[in-house]
Amino acid sequence: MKPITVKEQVRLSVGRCFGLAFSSMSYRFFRSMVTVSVLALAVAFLAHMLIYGMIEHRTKLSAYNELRDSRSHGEWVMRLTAPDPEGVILANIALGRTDRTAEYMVWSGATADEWAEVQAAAREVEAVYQYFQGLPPAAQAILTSGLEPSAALARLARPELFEAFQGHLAELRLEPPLGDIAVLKRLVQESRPRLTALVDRLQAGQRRAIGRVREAFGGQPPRAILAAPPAELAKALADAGFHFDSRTLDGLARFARRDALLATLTRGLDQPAVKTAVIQKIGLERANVNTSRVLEFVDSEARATWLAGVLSDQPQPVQVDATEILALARDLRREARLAAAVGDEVPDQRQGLLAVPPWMQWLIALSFLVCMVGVANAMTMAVTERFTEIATMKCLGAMNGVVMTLFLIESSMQGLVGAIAGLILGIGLALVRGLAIYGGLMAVPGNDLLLGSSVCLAAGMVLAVVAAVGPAWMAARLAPMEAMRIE
Amino acid sequence: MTTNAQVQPVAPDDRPVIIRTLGLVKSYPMGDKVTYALHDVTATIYRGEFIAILGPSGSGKTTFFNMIGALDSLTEGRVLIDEVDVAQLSAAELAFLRCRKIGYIFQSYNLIRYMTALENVTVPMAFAGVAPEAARRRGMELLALVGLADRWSHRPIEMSGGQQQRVAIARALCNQPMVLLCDEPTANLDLKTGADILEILQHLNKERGITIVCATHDHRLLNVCDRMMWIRDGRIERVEDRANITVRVGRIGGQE
Repeated sequence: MKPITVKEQVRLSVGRCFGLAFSSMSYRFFRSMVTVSVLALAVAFLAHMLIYGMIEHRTKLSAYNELRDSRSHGEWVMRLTAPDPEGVILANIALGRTDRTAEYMVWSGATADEWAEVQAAAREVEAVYQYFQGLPPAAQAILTSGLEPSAALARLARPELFEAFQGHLAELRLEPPLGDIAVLKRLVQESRPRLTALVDRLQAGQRRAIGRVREAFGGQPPRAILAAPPAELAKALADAGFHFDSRTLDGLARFARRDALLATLTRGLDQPAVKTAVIQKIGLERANVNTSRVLEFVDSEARATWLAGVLSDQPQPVQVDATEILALARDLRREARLAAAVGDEVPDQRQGLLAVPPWMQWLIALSFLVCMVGVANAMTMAVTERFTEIATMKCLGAMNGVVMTLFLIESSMQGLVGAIAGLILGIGLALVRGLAIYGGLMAVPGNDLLLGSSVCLAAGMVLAVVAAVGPAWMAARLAPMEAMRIE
Repeated sequence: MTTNAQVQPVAPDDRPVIIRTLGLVKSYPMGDKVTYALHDVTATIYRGEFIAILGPSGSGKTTFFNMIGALDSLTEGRVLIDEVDVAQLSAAELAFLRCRKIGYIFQSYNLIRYMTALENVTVPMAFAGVAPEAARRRGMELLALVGLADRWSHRPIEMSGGQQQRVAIARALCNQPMVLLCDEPTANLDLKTGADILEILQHLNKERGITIVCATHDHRLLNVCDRMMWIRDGRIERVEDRANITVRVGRIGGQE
């Protein structure tokens, strides 16, 4: 009889492993689908939170940016009415806003050297303001004597008050503002008075510039000036030393024309006969007849034509084009919806996950955890219930590598299918939710969406494979009967 | 016959040995105490014999079976298969041994649920690197041998217990093993089916010269086997040739 010779077991080809894995999956199709669905739900949850967070942010951001014309119109009306307040000027200088500082340099007549010094002083002043605001309320009240930060800082120019301030600091055991008392002393006694003088000169310069612009347009009020043709406005503003972006001016002109139309309509609606006609047609109370209420009503061409007709059919006719009224009404409605979409927060101008508000980032991190637990649980369960099978295969001469390859193939297939299904579900839900909340205003960030999808896919797949291969390895490296006993 | 059957083999020592165990101990720690499933078992199994391992439930039969089949880790002692210490083998060599030299038949069949009868029979051949076509041909031959050629495409759940056990026998035979280890192969089967299975095993032993080790408490096996080994409480109680038993039974019955 021949002796038993023991050699090394042959290794199986990847192709045969695939064959075995597929026959296993097709037989246990239903059980696999249960695993895949749990996986898909977990990934869908993560994908939904992630994608919706990005969609929401992008929607708010684009709504905010679309409202830029109306914001910059408001800003320009202010700028053409009176010089910037001191606080605004200091903040602009400290932040180094180039467009504004260029104007300021012209109006104040400061040289470049002088300007550098002013900028340093402005930064120090801002730092001191922040120092005051960061103090506990009691310490703040003592150090500022309950005054506004700017007034509190101005007081320190008087030596006796500065000494008292120093005393308070010592009592409160606080670090002095700017880290060094000598620096603060120099600021309040030298730099700050110079800064204040410059701000005064600057404001006077801006007042003269405003005067020149108004003069160029025959003393009209700011709103009327902004409605002027962009080329004329640009020339007048440039002469006076204002800095602007020509694209902004186009937007401004559009907005200003609308503003003028709104004013015309308001004037027309003030006539008693028009009011009566409106009351009969719409059924508003007399006290409630105003431009915005009437424009809310104008949502079709017929109604716009009716309103234009009423306005022109008066002893003092107001001629307004019906299509313009309709366009204005639509504009205002859209703006209201944009403003509602933006909400109270100013959205971060950056893109991607980091721009999403922090509370949303927390939610996403949490949903990532939930997804992890869900996927890991589903896969671990599916593998643990197959320990007997692993043991049987080892009894029949399967190498550990073969067992691992089978589970690797199977879990990565399940992970892939589950993650893709979950991703589709999650994105679909996010889109539906976005549409329900923002409607046509919803903006979908393409790149971020792709990145987020990849993150979800990778997370789902990697976790599925790790959660399956871990327990499979635990069972495969044991002796067959030990694996069978685990159950 | 002898008083010390545990230590001295009953059969003559010049017969070729296929599996030997030396001072085999398997224990499970249970809290502070240690439970012994096997306690210092030294046994010898010869080539070509049909040996029955008998004993009540919980006596350690299955544990002994797992040990000599290199399916479980042992606490102390050695298992030598053809004088090779199982503990010395690498994982790949163990896989080779389990795949080609030993066939296993389990009480609960342990077929792979998602494979058809033929696929179940061909799996060990796949692990052994046999080409799929050759494996299928050989698988069909083996299924014909156990009388299941027409059921090749059925899955385990579509077959009776006896049919599943016959598939398991075909699977155990597919790589021409030297030893067939059976762990209560007839325990889950009715009398008729059990008798069929025993007939197949006897045929394999007589015609092909395969060594068969059969843990059982089915007493019909006494008519089939060459030797018997009784295990009780993790120790070998006695080992007898079948011839001696027959003689003894005759004496007790008062005939002859």
